Amino acid sequence: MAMLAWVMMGLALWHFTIFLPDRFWGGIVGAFVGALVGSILCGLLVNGFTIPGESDTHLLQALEAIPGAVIGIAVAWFEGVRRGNEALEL
Amino acid sequence: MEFYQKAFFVVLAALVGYGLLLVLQPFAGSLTWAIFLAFILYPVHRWMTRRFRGRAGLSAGILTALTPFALLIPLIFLGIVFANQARALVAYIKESNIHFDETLFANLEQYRVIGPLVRLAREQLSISGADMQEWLTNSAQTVLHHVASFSGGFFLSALGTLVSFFTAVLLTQAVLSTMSRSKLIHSPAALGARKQRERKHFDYMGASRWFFSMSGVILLIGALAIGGKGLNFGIDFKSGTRIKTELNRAANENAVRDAISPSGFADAEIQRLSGSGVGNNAFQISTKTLTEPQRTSIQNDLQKDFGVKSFDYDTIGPTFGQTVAKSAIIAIIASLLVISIYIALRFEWKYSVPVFIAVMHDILITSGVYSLLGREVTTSTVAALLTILGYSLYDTIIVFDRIRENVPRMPRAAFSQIVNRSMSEVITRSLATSFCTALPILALLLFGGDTLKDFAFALLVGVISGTYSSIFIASPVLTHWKEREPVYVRRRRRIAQDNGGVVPAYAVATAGAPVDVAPPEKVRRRGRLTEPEDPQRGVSQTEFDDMVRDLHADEAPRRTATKEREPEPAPEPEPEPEPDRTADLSPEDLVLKDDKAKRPPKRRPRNRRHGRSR
Repeated sequence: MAMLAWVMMGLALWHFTIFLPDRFWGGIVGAFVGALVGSILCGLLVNGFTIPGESDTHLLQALEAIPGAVIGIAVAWFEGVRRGNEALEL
Repeated sequence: MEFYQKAFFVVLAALVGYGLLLVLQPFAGSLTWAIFLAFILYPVHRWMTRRFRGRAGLSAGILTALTPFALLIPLIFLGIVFANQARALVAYIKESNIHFDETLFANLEQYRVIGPLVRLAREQLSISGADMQEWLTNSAQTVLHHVASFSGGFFLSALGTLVSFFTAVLLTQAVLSTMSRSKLIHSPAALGARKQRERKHFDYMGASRWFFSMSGVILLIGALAIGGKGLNFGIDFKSGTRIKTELNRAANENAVRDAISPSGFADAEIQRLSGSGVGNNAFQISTKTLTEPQRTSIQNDLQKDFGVKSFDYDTIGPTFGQTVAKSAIIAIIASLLVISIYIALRFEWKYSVPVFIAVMHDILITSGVYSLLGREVTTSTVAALLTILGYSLYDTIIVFDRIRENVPRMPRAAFSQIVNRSMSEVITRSLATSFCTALPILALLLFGGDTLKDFAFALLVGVISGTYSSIFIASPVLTHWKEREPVYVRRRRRIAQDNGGVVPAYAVATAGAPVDVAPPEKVRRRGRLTEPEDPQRGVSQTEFDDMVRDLHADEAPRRTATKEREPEPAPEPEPEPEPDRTADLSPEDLVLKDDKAKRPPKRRPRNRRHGRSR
């Protein structure tokens, strides 16, 4: 259940990357992968590489994914900047 | 870097291969049958192709359309015969006076061939006559059950497909053409042939950021709800006992809870049942797994307070829920994998990722809504999630297909302009389809029973989310991704230069160049040589050119390798090229390559010592 909450939080935060200039490594899909991987990894790290089950899931568990998702998106963005991706604004 | 890329692709290929294996495993039987059928029907296909003068597509189409009929009818009859035989066998064993007693086995053991086998089986397996009779009866019943369910399921699905195909392709066409000839309908507008209205030029891509934000907020709330409240899994996913009871006196959920609380079941989940088949005062009580005394205790409590008219129960083990959940996850992952592969093959691999994201978006939003409203997640919900997956895909494919069509038509437009144009063309159709789909689902939600209501609710949320995601999630993601391709970057830069640094939402004609061009048509070679355009000449000029080209078709291929070689000696002066012998020939003088009968056959001299020692 916690995994579902982490993935949902990662996906939710990814939606707001549309307001950033698209300089992500791999474009908007790179940001998507970064957000999902970051949120899942952060959730796993905080919980000692275990996935809390249905009865152990609480509100904080969903919030645990936020730093991971932000870091994942930031990594994709800075890697894109390092590679010289030009900003794309539609 | 190249090594990492190769390693990545190897790992990706291995993952896809493993996924395909998982996906195809359940269909192994069907695939084997398909290969067998293809093997059997190939000679028929070749014969039909010859009969249709080389039109292999027509032959394949007719054969594919006829095969279900040729197989369906015999299989249905076979199923009916099997079912009748199995039913008769069960009835015979049950009702006749045959007893597998010791005398029967003793008689069988006297036979020379089967006697020792029967004796050995009885000694090793300790089979008594009663065991044998029970085993045979059970086996016959199992065969009957399987044959009946297979025949019934197969018959219903095949019949549904055939009827749907018939009504969609033939009946609608027949009705429309009849209507067009009747006097009742004079106006072409009645058949949809009206003047196209001016399309509204809405900047879908420009507005996408606000729709993205809306989705983000919904998902954020859903994630918090799942974290805080979790999903309310039904008894199908958890072990427990489900009691369905009809009471004599009127009661509500709280009164039922109060009645069973003294026995220690205050935390039971109580729902009022409604719909046809249950009375006005029926309830479903879901609790942890109950023992026989606990069930009796609940029944006594209800009897004492309200009077019990009927009392049924089901106990669901923990493994059932785990199996259902595992199967559901595998089904969803397998479907997503197959869908992605199909879209990558049909469109382009970059089209499959937005589809994947859109489908994921729909499933997660539905889960979030379920968590937020605290609705029970049952096996019907899982079925609805899989249906949503299909529907969302269908809606996205409509949009993507139009984008794919418009890409070659708009060779100077930015990708966002192509998408905007495609969206404006299909949005009405997409919304109309979704509205028509939502109407029967709404009817199910309002008037269906409990199980159907669960199914309909998930489906309704999914259909709304699916329509929304195909327009406002999948297409913008595709646009953002494709606009990074060098060709679209160049176009975008050029368009911005031509329009004062701004890329218009819709393509505009600049410097006299048209916005739309006709898509390049595939040039098909004319294969008909039997009916010349000019009977006096024998063949047409095109056919003559084709024949000349055929005569030169066997030339040695030119060297394409670029490997550097050692410097070669100076070439000798090339001899004068032979004049083209076919240039001045008339069509009558040409000899076709297939016309081998006139040439003397070249035979290798026979090796007379073959196989003999020298």
